Amino acid sequence: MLKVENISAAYHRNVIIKNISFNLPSGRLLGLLGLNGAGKTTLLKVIGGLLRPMGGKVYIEDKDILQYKNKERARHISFLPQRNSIFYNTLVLDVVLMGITPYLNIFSYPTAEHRKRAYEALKKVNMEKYHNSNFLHLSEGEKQLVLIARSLLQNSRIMLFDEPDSSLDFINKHMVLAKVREIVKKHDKTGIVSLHDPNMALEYCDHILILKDGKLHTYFSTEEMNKSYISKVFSEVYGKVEAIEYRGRYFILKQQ
Amino acid sequence: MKEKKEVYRFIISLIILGIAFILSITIGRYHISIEDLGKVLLNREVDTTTRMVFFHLRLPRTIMVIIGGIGLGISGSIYQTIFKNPLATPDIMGVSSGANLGAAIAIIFLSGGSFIIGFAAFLGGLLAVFAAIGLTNLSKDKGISSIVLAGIVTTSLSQGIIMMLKYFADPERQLAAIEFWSMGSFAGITLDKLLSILPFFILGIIILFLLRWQISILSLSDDEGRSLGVNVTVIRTFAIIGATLVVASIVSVTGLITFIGLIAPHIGRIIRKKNDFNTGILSGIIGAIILTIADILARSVASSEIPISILTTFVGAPYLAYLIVTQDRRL
Repeated sequence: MLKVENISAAYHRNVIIKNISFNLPSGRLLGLLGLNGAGKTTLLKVIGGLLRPMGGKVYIEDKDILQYKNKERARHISFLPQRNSIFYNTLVLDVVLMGITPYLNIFSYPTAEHRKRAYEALKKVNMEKYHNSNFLHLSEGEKQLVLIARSLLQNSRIMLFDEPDSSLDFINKHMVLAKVREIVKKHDKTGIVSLHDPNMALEYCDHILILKDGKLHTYFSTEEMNKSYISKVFSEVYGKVEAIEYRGRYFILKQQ
Repeated sequence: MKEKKEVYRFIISLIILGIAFILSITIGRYHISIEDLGKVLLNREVDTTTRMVFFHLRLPRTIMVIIGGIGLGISGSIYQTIFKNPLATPDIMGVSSGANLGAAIAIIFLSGGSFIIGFAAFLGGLLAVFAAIGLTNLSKDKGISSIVLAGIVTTSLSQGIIMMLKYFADPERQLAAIEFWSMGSFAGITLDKLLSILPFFILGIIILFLLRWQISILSLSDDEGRSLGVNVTVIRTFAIIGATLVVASIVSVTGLITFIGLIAPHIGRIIRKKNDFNTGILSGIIGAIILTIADILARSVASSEIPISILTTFVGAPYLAYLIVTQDRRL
């Protein structure tokens, strides 16, 4: 269970997000929506313990995350940044293996057992056949899957994904988000994924949180929504939109 | 299968280094034949001069060259990893300029012998880097760009003072000595000098070895590293200190050696196609091979010894040009 209480955060005195509170139970995937600059990444970084908030607290199982040491926190929360920063040629298995770092002593090196577990994590995202390939030669979608495997090896209860679909084509967007959802459900994780496309959130997430100008605009469960509610809340953020229902799924369309 | 190939690579590079070692022992103003070398090693009867030259000149010098190459190669590899930049070298943090300044001060004010110069150079190198680290810690973000800027500050400050010292130096002796120091040479290496720097060199290597996994995580962005539980700022500081100990201990007795720290890791990564601590070790071996060959040339191509950095520059610069033209930058 993740509890976010009155979070406000700033970069160099520039306040980005104000007074954000919500709870998220495990086994649930939350879609974080909002326009550019609404504060999605900032909120994720605060929850991930990468940015100290100006005010408010984040609790995991009732413990304030700022009380965790770096390594301990990394065993509870994983964070997949918008753009991965693997720069040098690296084998796929070695990229996944980085996920074991929070479980290592500062002077130690991953063991053969850890490599085996990294391989198992790759299997969970169906990427095991690439374990000996160069990470930089993979497609963007495959890279995301490998990084998701790294988060899995990290074995954290809370998994944060910052726009994992931003550089992907249509097929890969759906493939990666379906995988994110599958992992949250299957391994009972608490997942938060920031997204640009509201339709992706409507399709894959259990809850949707919309940020507007750094404030929480709406927080709702996708199980309890209906057409008129969707068009109302999304119109308030994205300008006039219309919601449509097709075979039990909801989509929004921008009105001209 | 893959592991076997890896082992072969290391064995082959060690064999090449072994050949370079033997050449380095035998070639020089006083020639030692392979036969004589065998006799010395097996403790058989041999000419006293040969024995003298071997133990007091050739062996310490060759070992120092190898240590120098290994140290510069490994530290270069570590710097390129933590700065996420294939063109980074240990000089970024000011170790070379600091050492150069220390040596210049010793030459002018302490009119010292080579030990005092070495000590001052070592201290200068460390102080410059510590100043850069201190400056980084005063900055707000403490990230890579702050480190690079802090390094530029200490480097240029050292250079400025060096220029001033040179301007006021006696051109015949002091200025020449400062210039000569900055071109590097293994000519003056003795067993005592080798032994005096060895503890610092080994300490630096041990720090880098112990932190090798954490250092590999530093190749990621700071946020990504932190999210994996690594205390990025602390580990980076210790990695820089370790690499600085290694480089400062080398250049304090040899003077500046250019390019090895840049090109050896490049070749290491091209061969291994990945960038972990083993690539660092291979870079060290490659650095040792290049430097040994350069040193052999330094003392055999002309009637007097040529400073080592002249040779390493003539190997390094064309290689870099070649890389610019042919390779993709993600080496």
